[in-house]
Amino acid sequence: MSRIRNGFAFGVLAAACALSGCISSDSDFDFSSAFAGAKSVFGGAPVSKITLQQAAAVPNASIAAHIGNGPEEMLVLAETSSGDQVWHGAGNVVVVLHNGHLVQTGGLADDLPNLHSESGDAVLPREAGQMAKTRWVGDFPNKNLFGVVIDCTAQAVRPEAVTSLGKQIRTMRVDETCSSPALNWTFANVYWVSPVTGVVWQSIQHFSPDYDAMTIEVLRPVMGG
Amino acid sequence: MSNYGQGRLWNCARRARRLAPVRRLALAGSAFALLATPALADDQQQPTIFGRDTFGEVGILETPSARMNPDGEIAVTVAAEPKTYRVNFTFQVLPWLEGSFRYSHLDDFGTTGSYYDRSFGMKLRFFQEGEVMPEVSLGIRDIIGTGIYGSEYIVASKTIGDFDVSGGMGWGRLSDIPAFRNPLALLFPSFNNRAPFTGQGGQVNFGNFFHGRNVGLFGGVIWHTPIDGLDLLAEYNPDKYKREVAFGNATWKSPIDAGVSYHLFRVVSLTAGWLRGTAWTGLISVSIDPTKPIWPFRIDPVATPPTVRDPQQQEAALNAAINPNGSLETIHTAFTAPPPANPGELALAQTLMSEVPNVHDFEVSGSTLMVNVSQGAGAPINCALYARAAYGTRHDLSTIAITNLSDPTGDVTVCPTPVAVHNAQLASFRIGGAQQHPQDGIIMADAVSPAPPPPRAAGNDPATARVQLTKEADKQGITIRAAYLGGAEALIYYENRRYYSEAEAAGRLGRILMAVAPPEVEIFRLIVTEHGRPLRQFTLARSALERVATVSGSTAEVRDAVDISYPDLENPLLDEGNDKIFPLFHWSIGPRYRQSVFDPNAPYQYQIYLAGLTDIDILPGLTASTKLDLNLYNNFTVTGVNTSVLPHVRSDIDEYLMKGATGIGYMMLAYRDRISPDIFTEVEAGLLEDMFAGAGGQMIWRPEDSRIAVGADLYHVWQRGFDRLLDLRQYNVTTGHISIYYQSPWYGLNFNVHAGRYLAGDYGGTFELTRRFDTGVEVGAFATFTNVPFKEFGEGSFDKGIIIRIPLEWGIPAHSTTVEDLTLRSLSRDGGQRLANDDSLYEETLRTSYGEIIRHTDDVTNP
Repeated sequence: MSRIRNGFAFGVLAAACALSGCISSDSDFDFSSAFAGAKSVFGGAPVSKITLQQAAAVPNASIAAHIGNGPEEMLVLAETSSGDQVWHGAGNVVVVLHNGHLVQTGGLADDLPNLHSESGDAVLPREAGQMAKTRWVGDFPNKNLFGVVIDCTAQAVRPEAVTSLGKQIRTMRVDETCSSPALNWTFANVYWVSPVTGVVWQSIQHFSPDYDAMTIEVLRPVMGG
Repeated sequence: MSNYGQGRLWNCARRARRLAPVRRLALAGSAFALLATPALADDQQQPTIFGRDTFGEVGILETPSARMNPDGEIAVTVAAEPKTYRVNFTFQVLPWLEGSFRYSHLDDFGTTGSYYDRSFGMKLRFFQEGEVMPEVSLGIRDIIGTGIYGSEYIVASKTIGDFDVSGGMGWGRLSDIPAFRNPLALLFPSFNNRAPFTGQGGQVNFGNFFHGRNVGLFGGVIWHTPIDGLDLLAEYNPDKYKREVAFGNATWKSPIDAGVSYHLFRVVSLTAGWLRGTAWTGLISVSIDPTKPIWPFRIDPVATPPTVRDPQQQEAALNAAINPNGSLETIHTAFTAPPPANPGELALAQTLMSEVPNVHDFEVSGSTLMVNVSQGAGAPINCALYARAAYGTRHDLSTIAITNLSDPTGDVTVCPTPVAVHNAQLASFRIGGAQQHPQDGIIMADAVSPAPPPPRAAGNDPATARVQLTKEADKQGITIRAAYLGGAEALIYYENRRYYSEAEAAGRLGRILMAVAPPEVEIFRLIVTEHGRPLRQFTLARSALERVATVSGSTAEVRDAVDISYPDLENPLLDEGNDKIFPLFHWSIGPRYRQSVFDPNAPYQYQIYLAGLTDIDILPGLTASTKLDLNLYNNFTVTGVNTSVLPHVRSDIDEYLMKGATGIGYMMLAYRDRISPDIFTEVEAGLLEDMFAGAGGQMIWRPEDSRIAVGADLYHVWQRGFDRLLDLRQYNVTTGHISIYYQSPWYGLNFNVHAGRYLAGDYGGTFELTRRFDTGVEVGAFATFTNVPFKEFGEGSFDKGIIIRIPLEWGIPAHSTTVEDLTLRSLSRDGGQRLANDDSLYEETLRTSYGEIIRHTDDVTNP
């Protein structure tokens, strides 16, 4: 029902735009406002999903991301540098991933400007039972805290299949628990990693004590190299 | 004024039905409510159900609301008040379109004192309810009727708390109490004029819609009381029942109606009301959902659980499939026709990056997948790994060219996929020898394989596998006609007489093969046969089936695992098998029922009879069929002088069912064949149906992977004697049609057109629009227009009716291929009448058609 309702509202808006000469399209949607307004249940289902047709229409590597149960948005790979994958979305939103870890955001109301590993190149475990400990150091300027230590332990728990655009992908589920005494913040992240290629197909990652987790899903994977 | 209510019904699907007469009766005679009852289990998951008014529309008591009920819902509503009753059939055609047909009886009305009326209505929703906007719909109550209930309206509905409030403005009867001038008449003066009720129906009277000097206002409210399912109703109805009052059929005192409605299990609604300040009304409405089977379970044997080989066996089978004789060159030379393309760059990227390590990038060129990898120089390339990933995603890839970027030599490794190998194998397929299977009629060709068998992993040997396959398939109601298991392939010819969905049958057979086939068998080729003819081929990749089973299977992966095509014209393995088992004899006997409705002098006539059916498959494709009817009870009667000025090709049906109550339904010889992979033909001669005998034929072209089919039929027929025995009457005619069928993917809508010469010698076209649900239930309408003038045609002006086809397995907790055709005609006349069963070939090939299998592909991997 809501879809029709929205469709009608959109129709009225489109008619008004047509009369006034303005132009509107889905790609003009303000991504940052959608993220800024998000504050809801962890892991909630997004209210809108990127479709196979939308993803297939973009030739670049792409991911979908949403915060809490906010709308899902597509980001495309802008550059790869020293293992960092820089993803750009509509508006000014930038997300940087390193080995699947969310290490930087830009364009959100409360950004994560920097997060780096002090334990070398943090790689998620791929075999059931394997563990990996990582000490992260990050900056949280809105709290006026810089160089904050976050200790995380990741463990590959069991094989699970995830669905990406209707396709089932066999992965290893990796649960990660993290804590930061300085922020008085304890949280849990989840990753679904291909045991064969190491691609992190989906993840739910926290990036701020004040926000719900960000859910990231690979649509078109970055090819190797 | 006789009606041939069943019309083509009792012949139209005779082949499909003749083996299950008992079940046929059970459905045809069953109460609507009984069918609907098991749906109660899904009560909590159903969307909102709104009550219906006495016209069958979603509404209040006598006035409509803007609401629509769930997509696809079918409802029968019976409304009664003193001296009047209405039986309404309503179908939610699309989420925003409601269609209705009603049959009304009024006592003390008109010159004859008793009046029957048929009318079609529709309601179209423009806006769905929003936070501010109400739901808004437009409706017409009497589109092709006499106009007795002629009224049009625009109505809006809004939910406010526990109240559902509706209000609108109406034309025609809904303006008996005028509210203001017709705004359309202010713009266009011609809208002032509205023709009165004439009693002559059958034509769309566009000149009346939304016409009239004034419009009226109507509205009402439904209070959903705190008692679950109980609603209180009140409405303002401007219809003053002028004609009914004038004839003494009704009285009128007030425009205010009130009532109470109780929705029992969301399936049955019971309503009682006080109308016009003078009369009570009672209404019962029963709704069913054709989108889901009535019963949530089946009493048939469950499908064999999926059996998955271990990774070593999988890899060995794939390697064997890729290189059965060690010569890649041979494979490429023999490879001829790749399967149709399955575009999916994105899916391929996902597959490679989730299942194949070290992939750098890839590109598809034609049927070749070119992959660059980065792995240690000199490290061997695992062809099976790439082949599995590629084949599981795209069936059009025959070759994989792999370049290791770390290898300074720049050598490219070329690997074939299973597609290439097995097309090559099939192309060179010859029977070198055959042996009789211990079970009757099963030919197993052991010496078929052109190449030495590959090494076998532990498991069944082919001979044991064949025995187990036959035994297990028989338990599932599938008859194996011929089977070959050798090398990396299983080739199975089978006949399905149990499952309405051929995909379901193929899926069950695939599951059995997963369990019993030797582990090196990688490709299952399953060929559906009927009357000894191959109709359709399913090609299943075993490793893809296993992967779907392992990860629960997405729709995309299901599609990847299944390929459908037409079988070759030459089927030596099947031919050898057929030679040993023909002739085949099938028979059944059981009670049946047929009916004729809408005749004003005898509104409901029916017959219960015992039908004995035989099918003798003399040779593959050649079948002698007979249906003998023994009357048990019959109230058919000739109700008046037949005044039709056309040859009485259908209007004498009452004579046939009186004088030939016991007789021969049909007795004929038919030969079916395929003259090209996608063209099916049939010639037949004998007593073709209840009223005609003769000879002729039909053909249908179903292009590969197409939703369109083109058919043609041509017959010369003689009218049979009324006693339905062997004698013929003088009237004879040549009749035939060209037909175009389109199974659209849009809401499952089907569009069919037939153009040609009809039984009365008239020329014209028939238009059919139906909606077919995944359950196989099909509902729609048809209309035939010929060069017979409307006046000559008689009451109704042209032939038209409602199409209802119901697979028996939708209504019972068991599988069945039987389909009940409950087509109803508004009137049965002589113009625009086709020979019953003249498009039987279309029906026979429907379940194996591309459009039908595609919508049930999931059944293959999840039977």
